[in-house]
Amino acid sequence: MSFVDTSVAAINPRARRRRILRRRFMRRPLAVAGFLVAIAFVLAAILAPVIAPYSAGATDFNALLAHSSRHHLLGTDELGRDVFSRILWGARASIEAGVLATLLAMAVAVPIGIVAGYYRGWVDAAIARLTDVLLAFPFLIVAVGLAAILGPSLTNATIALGIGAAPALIRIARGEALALREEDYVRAAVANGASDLRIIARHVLPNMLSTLIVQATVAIPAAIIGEAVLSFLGLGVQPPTPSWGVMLSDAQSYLAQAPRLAIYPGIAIFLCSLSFNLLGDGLRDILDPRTTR
Amino acid sequence: MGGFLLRKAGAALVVVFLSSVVVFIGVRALPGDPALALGAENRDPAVLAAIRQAYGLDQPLPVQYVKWASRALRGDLGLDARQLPVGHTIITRIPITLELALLAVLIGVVIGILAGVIAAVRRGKLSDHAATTSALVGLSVPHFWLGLMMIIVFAVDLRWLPASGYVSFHEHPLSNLEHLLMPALVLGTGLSAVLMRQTRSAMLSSLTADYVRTARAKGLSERSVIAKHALRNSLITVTTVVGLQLGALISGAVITEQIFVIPGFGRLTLEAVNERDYTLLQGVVLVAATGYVVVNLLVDVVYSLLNPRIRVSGSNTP
Amino acid sequence: MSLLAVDGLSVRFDTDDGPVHAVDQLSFTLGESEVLGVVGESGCGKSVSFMSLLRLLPETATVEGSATFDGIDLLRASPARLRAIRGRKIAFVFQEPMTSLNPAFKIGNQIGEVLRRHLDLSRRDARRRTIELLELVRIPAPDQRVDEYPHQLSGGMRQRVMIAMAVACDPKILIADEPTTALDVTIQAGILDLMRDIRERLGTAIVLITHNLGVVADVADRVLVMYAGRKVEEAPVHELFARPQHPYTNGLLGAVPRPGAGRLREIPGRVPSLAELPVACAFAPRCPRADQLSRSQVPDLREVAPQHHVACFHPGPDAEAAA
Repeated sequence: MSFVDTSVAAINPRARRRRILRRRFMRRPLAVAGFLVAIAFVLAAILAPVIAPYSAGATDFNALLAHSSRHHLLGTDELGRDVFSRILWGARASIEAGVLATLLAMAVAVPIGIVAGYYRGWVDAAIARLTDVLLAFPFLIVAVGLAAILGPSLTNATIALGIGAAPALIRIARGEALALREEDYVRAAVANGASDLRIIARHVLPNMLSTLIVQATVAIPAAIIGEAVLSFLGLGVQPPTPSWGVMLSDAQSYLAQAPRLAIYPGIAIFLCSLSFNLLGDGLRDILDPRTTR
Repeated sequence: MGGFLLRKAGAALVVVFLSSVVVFIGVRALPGDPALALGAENRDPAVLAAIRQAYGLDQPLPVQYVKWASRALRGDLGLDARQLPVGHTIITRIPITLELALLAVLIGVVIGILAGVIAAVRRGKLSDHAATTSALVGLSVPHFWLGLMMIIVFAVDLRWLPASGYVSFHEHPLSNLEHLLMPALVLGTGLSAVLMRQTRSAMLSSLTADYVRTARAKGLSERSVIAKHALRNSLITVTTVVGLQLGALISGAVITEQIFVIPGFGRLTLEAVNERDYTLLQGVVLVAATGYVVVNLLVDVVYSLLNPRIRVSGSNTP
Repeated sequence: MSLLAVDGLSVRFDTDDGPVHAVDQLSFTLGESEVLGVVGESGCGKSVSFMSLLRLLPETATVEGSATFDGIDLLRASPARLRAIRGRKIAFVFQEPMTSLNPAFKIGNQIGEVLRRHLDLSRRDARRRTIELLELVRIPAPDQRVDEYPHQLSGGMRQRVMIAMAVACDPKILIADEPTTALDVTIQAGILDLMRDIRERLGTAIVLITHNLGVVADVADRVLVMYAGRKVEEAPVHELFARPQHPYTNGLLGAVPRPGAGRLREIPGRVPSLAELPVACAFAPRCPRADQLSRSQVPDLREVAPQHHVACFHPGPDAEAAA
């Protein structure tokens, strides 16, 4: 008697998984749209010097607070600066803050979270208490405090945003590490005498990657809005450097006269963070095994 | 339940203590000489020395901390740069922010939970898409910008509501609500978006839970399956989220009060930073952190009331 | 006349990765006070079939066919009508006693809920009756247990609570889906004993869904064997054990420990995925008797002895098992 199991085709499982994920992703038009718009914003930030019709500071005193026209797509502000160009230039600060703050948060949080979840015991207890303390300070208060200590600038705002985002990420990384530790393949690796570092690098980290990617796509828009808030409050990007938050702050004085000055930068922030959120939601849907059933 | 809450309260005390240390050190890390600020930029060394002595700034840091902390425990947060008691200033500002926050939480909880339940129950239908999309928009929209837009529409164009300012409830209840409506909506939007998503996902998982299938198999009406069996368990998860959102709420209050020129606790924080008023900043941040911890402790109480696994410790648990 | 007649039942799930055919053209009947054993490996569609009868499946499931109970088609009855039957005329005991009770409510509340819903009992009467029911399912100190939460009970106790809940309104049919699988062996016997007792005392017809033929031999009158969403064999319990026809049934019997039956055997291979409806005998890839015919055509059910049906081109007991 011989039995052949014909139901499983011999395909490389990783390639198969990638193909399934891509197919699932393509079936979510909102996620695809989010991905494309997010890419567009990143490109706008990188290419601003090339594609912006005017430089960020160029003033046109013949067109103060001008309405949109052929020369000025979205009109001009109170100093005659081209709003469309400034939005393109402003994307730089937003994307930079969003991406770097998230990377910083990850770099701080993931190792701490893994150590806490993997080793547990008093290390875990100490780290848990520490994140509790950090969480007790609302992010804006931390950012305000840091800006006050370090001085207001985009770099300092980014650091503040990164530190502000870290505690929540620590908790997530810890939870993942805690769960992965109990997986059979990790136990098997432990039983085979693999070193902790090797287990973490080979098994724990790669398996929490999809969760981390989803968290990153959600952290980026939060940091982008955070940058706008700090710049709006005068604690981030300093004028005359263009930033969406600074533009909104300037626009406050002209709400009745020229509301569009407050509308366009806001739409830019909204679209940018919406696109990342859509992407993040889509990724979560396709990567989270609980929602695939 | 007692054990659980005692443990939580103990942890909260530790967090408050550590927070106070962080605040104390953080404020001392601020650039500039506090004595200089306190002395209204008077650079006479004798005056500065006198100020240092008066404020205890010449003593070692641990001594300063113990003095500050023990006074703070008695409610005395010191005098700010204008020689006004910090504790009193904070107490006069807190009710304004508290009212704003309560209104915002009310809006957020009612809209968020309701929309979340409807979206989960009608999964994949139009109302689900509408609610999910609105939540995504609510999460992506910068709230301070939403505030500016509301001012343009409702205050500048339509002239329905005042653009800024604050009137206390005792003075004029209606005017008080008029002034707080837009800020509360702005502040509540983010919360309702977060709560909607959490409620929806908690409801989706409890709606597919085995015990909900049991409830259906019992012949219960869909309404009691949803409102009793599924929602009760979802609320357990949602409560913890409300606690975690408190930080965002305080952050939100800072900027909302700034935009709508409301003299609350959030604006006081910014004033303290902008004026480099150390004692004030120290007090404000300490109160914010303590408030956060206390509210989370209350959330834990609600959580334990909702969750029998904590309220009743099982004697026969295998 | 039979109590329940199911005809041409098919269930399909629409998933992200395409449709899955869980049940295909299943027909069977259940008589008054009869105990029907439904046997098959996990994933063969046995639980899904019975959940679909009370329309307890998620919305991604498409159910076709008919299920006549008490003169109405359960699959087409109005939701209100169906709810009047659920828990009142047809009751379910689920596989997972740990998760099938709501963790947020006292067990007394959860049993009482059925009584108040269907029998219109007052809160106090429901409580009194609940305690009686807990006694019926042999839970010690029922007047204390009634006020406890599920997490305070052991798995076996919880399954007894589920059974008490199911028999609360004295239903016509009790569908027990793997009621003992999640439990210790010693507790399993007690639960089966209880089911037998309930049939005798209340005259309830019982559908016992299990992957364990040994359980069926003890309790059932008639057995239905399912494989890959289809019925492959059906016979009275003694007939089935004496003269198993389908090679799959033979395989299952080989996996049941019986005195003097020699070594336990396992069925090699695994249950195929049900992404597409098979154009051949679904068991063929694992079947020692498979030939060209089995791989090119779906075998129909035919009667090989009175009341004994099998869907196989090469029926008959295994050579070694028969020896």
